[in-house]
Amino acid sequence: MTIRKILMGLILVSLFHTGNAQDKKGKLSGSFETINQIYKKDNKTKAVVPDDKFGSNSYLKLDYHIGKLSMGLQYEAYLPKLVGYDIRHKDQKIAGRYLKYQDETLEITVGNFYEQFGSGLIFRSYENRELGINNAIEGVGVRFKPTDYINLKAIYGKQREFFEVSDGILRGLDGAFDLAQYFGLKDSHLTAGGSWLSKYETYTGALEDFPSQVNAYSARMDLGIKNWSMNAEFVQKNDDRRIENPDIDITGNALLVNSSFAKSGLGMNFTFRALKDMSFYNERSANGLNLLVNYLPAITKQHKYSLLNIYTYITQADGEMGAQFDLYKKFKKGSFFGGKYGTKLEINVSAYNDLELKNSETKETDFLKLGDTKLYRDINIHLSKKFSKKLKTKLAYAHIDYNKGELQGGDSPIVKSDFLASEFEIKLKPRHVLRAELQHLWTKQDKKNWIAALFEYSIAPGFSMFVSDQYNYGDKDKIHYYSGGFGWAKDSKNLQVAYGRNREGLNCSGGVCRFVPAYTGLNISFSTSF
Amino acid sequence: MKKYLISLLLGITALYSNAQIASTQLKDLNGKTIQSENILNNSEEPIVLCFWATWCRPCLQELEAINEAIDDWHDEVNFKMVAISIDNTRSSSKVPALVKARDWPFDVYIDENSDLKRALNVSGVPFCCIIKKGEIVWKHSGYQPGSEELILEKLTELSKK
Repeated sequence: MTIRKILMGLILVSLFHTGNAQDKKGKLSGSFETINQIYKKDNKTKAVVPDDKFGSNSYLKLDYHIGKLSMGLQYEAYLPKLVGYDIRHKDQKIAGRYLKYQDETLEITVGNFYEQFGSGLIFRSYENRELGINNAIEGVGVRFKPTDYINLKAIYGKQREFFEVSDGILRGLDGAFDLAQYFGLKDSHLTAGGSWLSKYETYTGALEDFPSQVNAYSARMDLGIKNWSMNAEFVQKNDDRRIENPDIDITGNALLVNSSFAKSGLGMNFTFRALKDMSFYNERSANGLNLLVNYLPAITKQHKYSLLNIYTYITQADGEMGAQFDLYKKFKKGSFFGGKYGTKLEINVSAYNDLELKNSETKETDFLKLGDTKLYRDINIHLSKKFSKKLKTKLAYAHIDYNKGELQGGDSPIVKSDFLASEFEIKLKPRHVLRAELQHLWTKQDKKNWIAALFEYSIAPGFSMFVSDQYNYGDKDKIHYYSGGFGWAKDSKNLQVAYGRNREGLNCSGGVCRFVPAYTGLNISFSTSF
Repeated sequence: MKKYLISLLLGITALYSNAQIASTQLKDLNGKTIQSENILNNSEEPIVLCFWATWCRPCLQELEAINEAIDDWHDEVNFKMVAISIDNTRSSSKVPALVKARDWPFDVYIDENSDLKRALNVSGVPFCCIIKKGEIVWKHSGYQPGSEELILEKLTELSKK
């Protein structure tokens, strides 16, 4: 706490000093966001109402920037938290503060900050308010770019854990060397990089020679020639032991390979990823989304349709191997498929299995050896076509195989589903647009068939309203998840009001998921920046 | 802690703003690291800066609408169009393929860990702003079909000043 007070003092001193003594003008900016929900009991959906029947999460961020100095703070309030958030989101506090110096080559931050090494496989600290994740580092961060071709990063500190800090201390180094720049290669790029991340956590248990320090290393490369590019990253993590199995020492490995080809009108992207024991926590006893050191999102398509988000893949950090392929094609105006305005086609395929078991006692898997258990399959096709200045349409098809038993636990067969959606956007008069969306999901397993519809009417530049329903007519309960509301936006102010039923399930953002129970009620959110 | 907060707020309100935007690191579509100040602070003409993501439907609607109108806009006013993708490593590798396939005639950069989004205090996407001489002079959050015309209106107003 003392360090925090010193830092707050420093921020204030710097602020007054720089503001008054220098002939420069500072810049204050910030943002405010509040999400409020009023809950209603709903016997049909079995929605549970919390004691208070009210939930409210609010965030205020203030930044002040003058010359080479920046400083700021973040205030958060959970009075009380919204349903689905961790119970440790409690009360209110100034949850982050920082002071930063920055010139052309050097950036030093003291306090709370976010950083990422490589693709995040080894280390990423970030904030995702929707999921209640904030694993900011509280410590010192340095970025140093001595030349155009060298980029160095260093971090030292603890990680934020709700309103507290972690027991484990992290220190890390990352370097990237732009070889193409160094050798003056034109029309191509080549970068090599590497990271080291170390975690120290005191051990007070009975085991002798217990490693209190976990070390992880990564090597990566980026290569690009004309329309083609490729990048790869490999990670190894040593001596990471869980509190429940302190005797078991399993080496973690990750490999990510990505390759793209893109030219005018055509883009393709292929990603391969294999993970073996890559859950990397700041503390031996941590689990879930809390105190994660690295970032392992699901490398699958993040679907925009609500029914396609019922069966969402969840990364299996202990053992998975799979790949994803994307194709983007634009049929140009005047061509056979393009017609008068052009047509867009997107195809996405992804497939994941587990890894072969190496040791049935320790449950250790064999890295890069594909197992027999199918975890996830997704093939989806999206077609967008503009017919006239007044009518745009979209058509989508998807087939998903989802191993619910493996991914969410319980005794469930593989859920095989087919999905079809169509969308119409009709311009009724200038700035008035009606959008209609119809979806259907077929499956013989789990909760059977669903149908969904959404109608949205918008008046530019800032007003929109909607009504929607997701109807689980195949299930015995036959629940309608209806919803309706409106949105208003002006400048950076944004207000959203909605009332309805929300189905229980995984709330996923950026490939990381949080379970949210069913709730029914009113939601009022407002955000602004200044 | 409360007294610190009050002092900070008082201190801040005693000052007034007119400074350049804090610089952060971005990636271009080739994966090269670039300082945002080289894109945002060193331009004579106004910059239209739009934040988007591959998974955000209204963002794609907005950028497609700008793509359709941009030639006409350039006939009327001078400006530079920059789109910032906030896709993190889950989907950032898809950005070059999507952008090139769609033939967007503007610069696109990737803000993989939301550093620039945070520095500009952007609450969510879609979000567009206009930067003139390193200072944000206009911003708009959200998108409804047709609201992109606000950008042209503001650019025209700025060109007359």
